[in-house]
Amino acid sequence: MSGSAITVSAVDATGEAGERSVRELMLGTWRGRFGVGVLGLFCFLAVFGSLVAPDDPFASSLDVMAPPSAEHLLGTTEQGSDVFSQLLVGARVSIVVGFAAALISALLGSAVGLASGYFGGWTDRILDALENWFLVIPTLPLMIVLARLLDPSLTVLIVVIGLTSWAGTGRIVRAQVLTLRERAFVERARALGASDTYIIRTHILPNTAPLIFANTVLIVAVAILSEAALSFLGLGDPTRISWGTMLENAFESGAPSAEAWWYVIPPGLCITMLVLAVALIGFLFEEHINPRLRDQR
Amino acid sequence: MSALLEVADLRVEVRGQRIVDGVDLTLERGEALGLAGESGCGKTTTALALMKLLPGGLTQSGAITLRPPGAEEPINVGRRTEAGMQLVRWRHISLVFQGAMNSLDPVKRVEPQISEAIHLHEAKLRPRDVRERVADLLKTVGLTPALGSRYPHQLSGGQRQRVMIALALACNPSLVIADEPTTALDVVMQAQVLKLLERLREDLGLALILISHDLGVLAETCDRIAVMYAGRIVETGPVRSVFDDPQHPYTKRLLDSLPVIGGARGVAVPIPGAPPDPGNPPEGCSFRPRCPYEAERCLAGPELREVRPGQAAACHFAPWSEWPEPGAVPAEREALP
Amino acid sequence: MSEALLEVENLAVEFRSGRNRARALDGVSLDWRPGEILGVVGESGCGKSTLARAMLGLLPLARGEVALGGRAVEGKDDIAGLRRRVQMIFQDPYQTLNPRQRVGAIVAEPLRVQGAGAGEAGESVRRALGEVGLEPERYLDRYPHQLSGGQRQRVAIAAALVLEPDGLICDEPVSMLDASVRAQILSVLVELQRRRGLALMFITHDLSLAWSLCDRLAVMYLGRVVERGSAVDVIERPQHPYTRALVDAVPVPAAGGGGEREPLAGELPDATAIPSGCRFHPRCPRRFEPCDSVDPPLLAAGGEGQLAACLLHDPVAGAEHTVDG
Repeated sequence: MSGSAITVSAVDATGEAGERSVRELMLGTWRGRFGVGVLGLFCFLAVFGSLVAPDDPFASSLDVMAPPSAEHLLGTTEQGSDVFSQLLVGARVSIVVGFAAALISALLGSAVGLASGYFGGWTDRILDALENWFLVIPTLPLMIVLARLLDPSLTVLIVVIGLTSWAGTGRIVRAQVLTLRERAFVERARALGASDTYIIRTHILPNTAPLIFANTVLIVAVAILSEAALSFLGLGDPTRISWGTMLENAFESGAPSAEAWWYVIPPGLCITMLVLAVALIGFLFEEHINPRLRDQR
Repeated sequence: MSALLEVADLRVEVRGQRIVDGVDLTLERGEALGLAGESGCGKTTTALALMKLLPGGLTQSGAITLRPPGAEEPINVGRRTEAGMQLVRWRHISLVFQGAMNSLDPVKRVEPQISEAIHLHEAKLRPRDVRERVADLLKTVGLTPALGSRYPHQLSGGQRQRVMIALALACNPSLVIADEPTTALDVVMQAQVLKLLERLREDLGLALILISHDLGVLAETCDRIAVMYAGRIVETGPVRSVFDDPQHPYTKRLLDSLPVIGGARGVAVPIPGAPPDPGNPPEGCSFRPRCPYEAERCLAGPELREVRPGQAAACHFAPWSEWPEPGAVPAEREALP
Repeated sequence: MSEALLEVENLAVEFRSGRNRARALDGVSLDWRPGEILGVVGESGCGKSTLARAMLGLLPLARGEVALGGRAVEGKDDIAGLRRRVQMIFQDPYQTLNPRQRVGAIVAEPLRVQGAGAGEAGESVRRALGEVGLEPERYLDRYPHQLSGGQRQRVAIAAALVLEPDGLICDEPVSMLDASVRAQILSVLVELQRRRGLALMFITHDLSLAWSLCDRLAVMYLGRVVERGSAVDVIERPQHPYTRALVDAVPVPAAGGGGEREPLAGELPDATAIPSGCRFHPRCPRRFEPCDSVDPPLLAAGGEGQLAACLLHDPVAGAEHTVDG
């Protein structure tokens, strides 16, 4: 310990909250348990939703816009389909789009951030300008425009959301790479004659990965919301059921004015809970990696 | 005349770990006391505790009494509330923080940062008088008053350090605590700052608590010195006595391990091991695991006691008139009370 | 005279930012002999760290030449060879190790980068760790954050040793460590010099350290060497007023503390605005007539092999003056 800040000696004795292990944070805190639990539940539904659902979510019946009953736990839609089954099946779209889009965003953002931070010069200037462009453009309108131009499908949704949210990650990665580049252990590796590939692989990436990960988890939350928004606006995949499309259909068919709360509230609640769960997990990750990032002791 | 500062049994704990473990100090008016020790020994925490500036989560206990000249009643720092402390801080006792050079607000010019401190304690002063005070302060620390209109980043490290000292003097305190004021400075700048502190003490009658891990710095500036190890004071006494005739094995080994110009060349024998973990202190004497003379009675904590006139050490085998080979403790010492 | 391990002649390094040109090194000539402990001292900003990096080919040279074992170093192959024979350890033990690499991987890295396989590397790694006093079994799998500052610095030294270099440049190796740990690390380094004949170059602002350990010493000011010679000569009988001021400024942990003289005034000027003539003249307490217009080279002064860049030692110009005044 070299005394560099007043609180060093005091804080070192206390032990930062963020020094707790990932496991401790995820399972030992209320936030963690909620997040992991809810996310786990929805992931399960994403895989097994169609098996667990009591009815075929697409099956229509004459029992239109009916309130909850023993037969239909959450009532029926304007086409007489079971709301509960739709809810369970709809989890898949949110989870799949959320994670896939976030993955694209992470890969794209990391690659750009890494290249521009490490190589500097013209690479940096061009990529940085590109990043700024994407950051400045309002994402939702951009998504709407892109989705409108292309035929609606899950893939399109994933690509569109991924393409519009990578810039934030890129920025953060670039900043981190810039600091890492000047660190003594990188300088040492360079002094040994290590190639750029080696340095990036062994020194830069491992020290940036936790940051990328924590950031990506939060992007998942954003992606899920974006999907819901786009589906709600009618730009989602019409062949699939998602919570967003449920809301779209509900509003289109006048469910609010019909006071069909069982149709309007559950999808919205699910979206909220999933996003909340993911966000909480993301924040916990950030807490965990923060002291490590700030300084290494 | 009663002492300016009296500290009795100061303890600071966090989560059950003792960072400061029963510290007693006295400081007379105009005296300079050096607080020596390595990082983690608790010296910075002690300084913060004196001003009740400890971060949340740390609890302090112990009696701290301040008797500034001109105050009718002694100030019982230990019992003051936060609101009460705000009247005491800076007015009677101020602090030059560690890494002070980076403690200045980067988006404010120098002059307002100093005048802000003055304003907090003497709100009734006219702005013109305050500005004049600031200019005087800058001159006192050897800077031209024109520097007051600059931003911190436009000043050099040495200049920023002087600004921090000026800031500490803003309300005419009788005691200034300087925590590692020269650590980040070059040897020439360090000499300049130490000279400045010496002059300030002479001109203003300032009492000083100087905290440093650099024994040379303390030798040059202080009248008395207290050596801290693992949250306790292990030796204290006049600078001359402690350096010429140390009475605690830690002090002795520390002095021996320092290279000195004009002294012996070659690497000194290092002290093995490392300072103890505050969460797991050794039984009895905290230096015992690293002490070359440790014996069974060291399992019971030695108290700080006077072993030479004016010099106290926390070691069962003090006073030491000579230092035997490591491991060999003369038999008759075992019989000491 | 035995051939130098590493020698630089008239080395110059510049840094540009916008229109400003900072001459971080402005014509440095120095030789480092095999097996010797050479000290380079000066205040921060004097160029000592830049010198180390320039000697290792880590910075582009504006002027000058680096020679390894008598042969000039030019081109990538020569530089690679240089780095196999001379290694470096850095100041901050908390920044010098990759926090996500285990000790074993850190120490093996130089070998892996040079193309060695995991097997051969293992033996050298164990040996290196043993040499710095870290039991391989206990430390191979640890991460840096599990180590203290002193231990981290030992790991850095071990990583520098695996290539079996002839010289080790140590840039402030102990300035960020506690007093009681410093002696430990220094004794590791000195032991290596003794046992392996490893040459050491200590870059430091700590004159006491230079006094106690170095054979020869070079004092730098604003990108130049202003005095050179045996460490004892340079510190006990400094021939350059700057060296004099540095030595006087060192506080001594003894009663009285030393340093009765008035410390040197002012601060190190910026490397973009180097004073004319002798670069030290604005602050020099001994300056006289020609000092602001003549830039003195290193002149013989004092003991054997001692040189100082000061006109006081010029046989003509300094005839009437002495260093002590």
